[in-house]
Amino acid sequence: MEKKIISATTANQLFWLGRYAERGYQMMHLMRKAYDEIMDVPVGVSPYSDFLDKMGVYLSNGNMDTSYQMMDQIYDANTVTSLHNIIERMMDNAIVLRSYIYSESMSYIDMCRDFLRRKAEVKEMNITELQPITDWLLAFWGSVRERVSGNAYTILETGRLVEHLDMNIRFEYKHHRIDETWGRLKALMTIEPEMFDRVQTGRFEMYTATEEAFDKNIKKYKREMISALNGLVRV
Amino acid sequence: MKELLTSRDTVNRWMERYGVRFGIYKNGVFKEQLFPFDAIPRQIPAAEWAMLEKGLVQRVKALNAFLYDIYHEKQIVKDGVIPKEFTYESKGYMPECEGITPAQKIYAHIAGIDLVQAKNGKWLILEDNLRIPSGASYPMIARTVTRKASPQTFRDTLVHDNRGYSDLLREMMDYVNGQRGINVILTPGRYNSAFFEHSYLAEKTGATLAFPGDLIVENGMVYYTGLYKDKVRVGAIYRRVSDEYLDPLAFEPESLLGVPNLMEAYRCGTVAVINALGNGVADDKGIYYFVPKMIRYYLNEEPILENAPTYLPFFKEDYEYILANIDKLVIKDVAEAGGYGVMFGKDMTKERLEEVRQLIVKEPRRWIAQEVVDFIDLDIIDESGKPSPRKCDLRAFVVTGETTKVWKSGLTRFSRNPNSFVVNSSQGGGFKDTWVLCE
Repeated sequence: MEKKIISATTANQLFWLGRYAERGYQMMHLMRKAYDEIMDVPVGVSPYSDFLDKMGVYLSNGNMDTSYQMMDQIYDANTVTSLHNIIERMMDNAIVLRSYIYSESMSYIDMCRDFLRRKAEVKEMNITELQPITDWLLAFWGSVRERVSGNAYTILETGRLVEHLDMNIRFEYKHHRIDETWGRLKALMTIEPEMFDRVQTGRFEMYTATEEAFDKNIKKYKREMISALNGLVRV
Repeated sequence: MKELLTSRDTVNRWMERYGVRFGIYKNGVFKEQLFPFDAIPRQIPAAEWAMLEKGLVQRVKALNAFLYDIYHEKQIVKDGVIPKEFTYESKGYMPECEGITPAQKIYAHIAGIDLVQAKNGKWLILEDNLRIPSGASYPMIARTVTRKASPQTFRDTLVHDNRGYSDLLREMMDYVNGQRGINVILTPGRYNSAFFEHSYLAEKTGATLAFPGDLIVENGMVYYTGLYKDKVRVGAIYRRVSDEYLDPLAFEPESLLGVPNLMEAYRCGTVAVINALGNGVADDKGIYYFVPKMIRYYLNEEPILENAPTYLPFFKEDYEYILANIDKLVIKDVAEAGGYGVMFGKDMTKERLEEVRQLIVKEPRRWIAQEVVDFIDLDIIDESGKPSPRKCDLRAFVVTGETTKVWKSGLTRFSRNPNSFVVNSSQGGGFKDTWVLCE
């Protein structure tokens, strides 16, 4: 594979582009799920609170109506976990990476950003109307796989897998899902070993080595698992 | 062509999709906006282009010869062709560049020459931009998009493909690089008004886009620094950072955009800098007046392309003419660019005219005056969807590597205001593609 020299700043931007693009994709998926669950719970009980709790969002106004919570979670650019914020941060990283990811890949990010900005103006609340964002994010990854190679691709993919694991752990996915993604990440470690912190790799593996260990640790050491994951990559 | 014009919405959607934007600062706040594109191209017939091409090559050759001369023997000043007040007192003159010979003796690798076509069909030069002329990326991407949107148009009309601009740039960079290292495009960062262009040209030329902090100088050589102490030597820097910010140890000490000690490496000849430092002396609006004289002096040829009629208040006869006719002329500050410092006498109040008169009296070297050239209008599709005439100029790009070549296209800028002559993007202007016809 082509090995092109990449500056520390660019590596960091590639990594975070990978993370934000995956976070945006996962966020859309989880919001669609929460949106579906709203229909089946009694009035006054918000399945969305659990969603926000898992995302680590603290609500100053605990009595907020579910629809307001959702609206903020989609459009409030000042809320770090909002879809709007994620898409803007994704664009912040992508805009300086055109020469690495190419205009074709970047165009999907551009379209997500412009589309969401337009939807924010009318506060579109029907989540199905936001489906193009999921489609474009998938197209973005398809384009990246088609066009980007070498260490730039490895760093982007590392960001994607780290974020995938992060979200899966926050939302307490089953062990086999974590294990599968972790296996892919370990394959990247053999390509760019310098990029990964050995201590954090060991920590994460300790928590997730077996299904039994994972099931026990996910309740008790969730925060530590996420912390190990976030210290894993040195860019 | 009809198909292209009816594809206007498709074209605009694609331009938005590719993020064809430029940045603008308003009241200190950075905003990115789409660069308004008009789908009706400027078309230049092959014979007319051949004449323009010759004239532009001639002009840039003379300007390169002038730059070498001014930083070495200064023969043109000694021979009294250009007064020293227009060289060594120019804001663009850099004493630090004295005696330095850039790689392959090239100063103006990329020249952006602004022209207008008068109503009698004659092309006139308005400005020579030899520092960091921008804008080539816009017609490049516009062509990519319009070919997608309207393939029939391009089957019906034989137009020179302009997407090879990146090849011209790459060949030029490789030539001055001389296989010493990688080619980089040095950008001040994403909040520069032309950042789209920096990143797009890096993508298309395959050069590495370098940000402030990515380049270091060690033992007189420039390196691009990678992860984990990795580094690779740089042979050519297409810098999009102004001279004064390029090296904080040599120029503006507070600059965070430059590369410390770059000037040392440049002086040693270990790296090519595109365009060369110190070019500002040749694109000073005052020196513009003397370019036809340079052509005669260095090339012993008659200029093929003429300047717009220009007066220098520095000369007594011109000074008197300007003061007497100021209400009919365009007054320009020689050190400004981007449409700033341009004043139309016809639009000024009596009080303002008097103020400008006094400015000229006080600092005659700082100003030039030009006759208002009634240049041709080209149709654009206005907001109501109808054709509407607007003032347009043309920025032609001349690239000098092993040879001097004119890019067979250019940036046609138009004024969005029907009553204005100012076409600059920073002043709200839009752009068109420029078609050089094959026949």
